[in-house]
Amino acid sequence: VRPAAVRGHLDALILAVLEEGPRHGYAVIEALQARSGGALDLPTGTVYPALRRLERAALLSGTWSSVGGRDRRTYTLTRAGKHALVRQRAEWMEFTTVVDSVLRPAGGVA
Amino acid sequence: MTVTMNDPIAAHVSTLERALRGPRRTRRCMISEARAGLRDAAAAYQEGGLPADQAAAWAVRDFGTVPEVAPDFQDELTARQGRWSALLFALVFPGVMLAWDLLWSFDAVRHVAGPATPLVGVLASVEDVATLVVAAVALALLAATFRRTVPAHHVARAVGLTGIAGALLCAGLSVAMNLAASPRSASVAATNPAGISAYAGSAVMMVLIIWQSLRTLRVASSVRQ
Repeated sequence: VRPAAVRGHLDALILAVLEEGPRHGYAVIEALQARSGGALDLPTGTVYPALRRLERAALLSGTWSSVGGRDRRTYTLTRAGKHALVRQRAEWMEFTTVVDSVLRPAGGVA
Repeated sequence: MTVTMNDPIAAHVSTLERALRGPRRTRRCMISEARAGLRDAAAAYQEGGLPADQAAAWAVRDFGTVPEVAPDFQDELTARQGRWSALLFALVFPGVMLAWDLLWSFDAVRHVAGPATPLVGVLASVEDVATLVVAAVALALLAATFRRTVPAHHVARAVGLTGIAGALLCAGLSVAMNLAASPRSASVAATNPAGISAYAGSAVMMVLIIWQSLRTLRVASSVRQ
């Protein structure tokens, strides 16, 4: 999947992987790659500003902590973040349903 | 910061940091997080069997080039700069107004300075309204920083312009009030310790607002280069 195609949906994808529990930045990247089967091909450096953007919008809360002797910033989905994820999932389902109904080859054509 | 040429992660992070403008604390925090992520990525490659230098090089490759990722980092720094400035203006403008109202609430000051002329009364009312309008605009822009869909540099630019316009308007009205006031009132305000403190405090606040506004405009202009 091309990076340009992912960019507009990156915030929703991050919210989705944080639904499972708090993660630090690299763990978010690993989860995105794992859940996409390695198909997401975007510069990992774009994930860190996206996390900050979601934190600024109060959809995530971030705190520094020491994990295995290393300082890492861990992000947790807030209540507003959970609501935003539900809303974005519904919008995506509606979008894909509409696009799919148009793109699907017309049946019964001789 | 000293960067060894043998450490591609340190070199990459250092180049990224130099490309960014914005609040120092947030910038360092974001850079530290990116550095930690790159170290994690390199460690994962090493666990997969790559030598350390190659693992670091691959982590940097995955991260993206500075021109690729710097605009997103800069957007966030611009947004934080705009948010901080908007909060400052929303507090300082009404704060200065309340400090002056408090000063004039003292009977001793009112008694010594004498009654205000009608023109001073009108100018004071105009300044109060202008201050509250500026504070309301700053609050609205502060709220806009919570919306991901509003471009950060637009909000930051509006915050900077609001600060400069508000400071110049309030300072101009203050000067006009002093010119319109009776000589007795002006001399009392300029010689009374409380009056001198109020004048000095207001001047410092206006300089602070203009400095912060210019800084915000500078950060807003550095986005998406």
